[in-house]
Amino acid sequence: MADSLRAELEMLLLAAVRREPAHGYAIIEEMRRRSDAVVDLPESSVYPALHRLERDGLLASSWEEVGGRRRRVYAITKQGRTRLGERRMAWRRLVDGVSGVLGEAT
Amino acid sequence: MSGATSMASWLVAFDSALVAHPDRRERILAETEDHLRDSVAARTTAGGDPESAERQVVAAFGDPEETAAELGPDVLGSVQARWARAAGRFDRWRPRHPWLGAVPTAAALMAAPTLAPLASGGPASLFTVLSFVFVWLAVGVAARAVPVQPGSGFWSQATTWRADRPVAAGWAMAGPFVGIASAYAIAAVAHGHGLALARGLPVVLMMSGFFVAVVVVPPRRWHRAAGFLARPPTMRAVVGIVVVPTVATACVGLVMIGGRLALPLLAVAAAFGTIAWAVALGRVDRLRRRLPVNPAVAASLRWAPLVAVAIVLAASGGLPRPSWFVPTLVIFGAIRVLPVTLRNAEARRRSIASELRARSSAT
Repeated sequence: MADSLRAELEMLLLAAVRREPAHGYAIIEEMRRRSDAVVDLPESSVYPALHRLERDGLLASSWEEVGGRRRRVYAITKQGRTRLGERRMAWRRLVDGVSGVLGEAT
Repeated sequence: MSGATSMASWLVAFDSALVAHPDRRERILAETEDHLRDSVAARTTAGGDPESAERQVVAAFGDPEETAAELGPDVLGSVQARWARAAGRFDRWRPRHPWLGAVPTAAALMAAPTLAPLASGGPASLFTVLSFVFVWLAVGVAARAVPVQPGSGFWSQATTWRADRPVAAGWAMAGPFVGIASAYAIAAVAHGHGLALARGLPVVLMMSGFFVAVVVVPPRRWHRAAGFLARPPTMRAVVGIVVVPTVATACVGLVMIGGRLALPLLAVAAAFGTIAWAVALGRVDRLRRRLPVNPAVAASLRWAPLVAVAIVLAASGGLPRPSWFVPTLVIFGAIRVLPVTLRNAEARRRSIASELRARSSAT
């Protein structure tokens, strides 16, 4: 279960930066905004996950000047996009499966 | 739980719990601090007062120890943390037994040629190994007689002379190079190798150039600033400066001429040379901390003479056993450069921590 949660967190983080690079705080805010505050990740878990994704080559980071301040900005890599696509498909299969069990149409 | 209620105290607790290499540590701390500031700014903009906003943000971020545990440790950070504990114990002993400072360098110097034959796959004769063990022990014993003052070193001792005896100081500093050059010249002439003499001179010139460039000329101002010139030389210092390099170079000269006593003389020369080198390195270490360059670049300056000698010897075909020489340099480098690098990393970690603590107490 912990692995599954970790995979979902990684999928969300990859999805949050798929359009444009962003720094940690902006990523969390963007996820809150897009999900109408449903996805409200514990802040302390986001940075370890970002570092893990970077270590695995799914994200790349660099210092950039954002709004007059120096920020560590994360961008998705090619490998990250591929992983995001795989995770999305797995997620849809899971949602379809669960919906089927619940008797809901997707 | 740390019980931190302010951003600064949270970061101090987080920094203490984090096991990471300084480069990563700085990045993580900067990132986390940015995040906390953004969160506080957002809450304050929404109408909260800054103090309670800070408390809420810190509480929402979670326990600093748990967060640190999730982020680390990295391999370099773990090695550095273990090293820092060991170095801390060593540093506590050192003021009571100053000669201990010479031991790591001496051990590296001795271990390198002892282990090199094994690393290069060549047979290491028992006699060779035992002779190096003997030299290592001799260094440990002889190092007690080296002039040791607080923060002393071969070059600082010589520098103390400059105030009132500039000519003597100049000779003392040039002494080892003049000695090496003389020994080389004697040996070359004795063997009738005029060409060899011509090849060896660049080595002497490069070593002299290194010390003139790094130790003598630029740091004059630093010597003055550090009050080295004010310290009068002791008789032990005078004896040490004159005797150690003289004995070492005389032995080298005799070894180069050859004879039955060559190997024991080489051992004595190595022991004295090691002492002089180790003490001189102590001085270079202190000076390079003040150099306005990257610490890794500054650290590499220490090995410039050895590298220069290796390059010149290799170019001139003067290496009798090149297969031994390369492992020697690698092993020596690993034994001496790695601890220096880890020590630098620990110094940076401490400086980051003290900056955070200062900010924490200011708030």
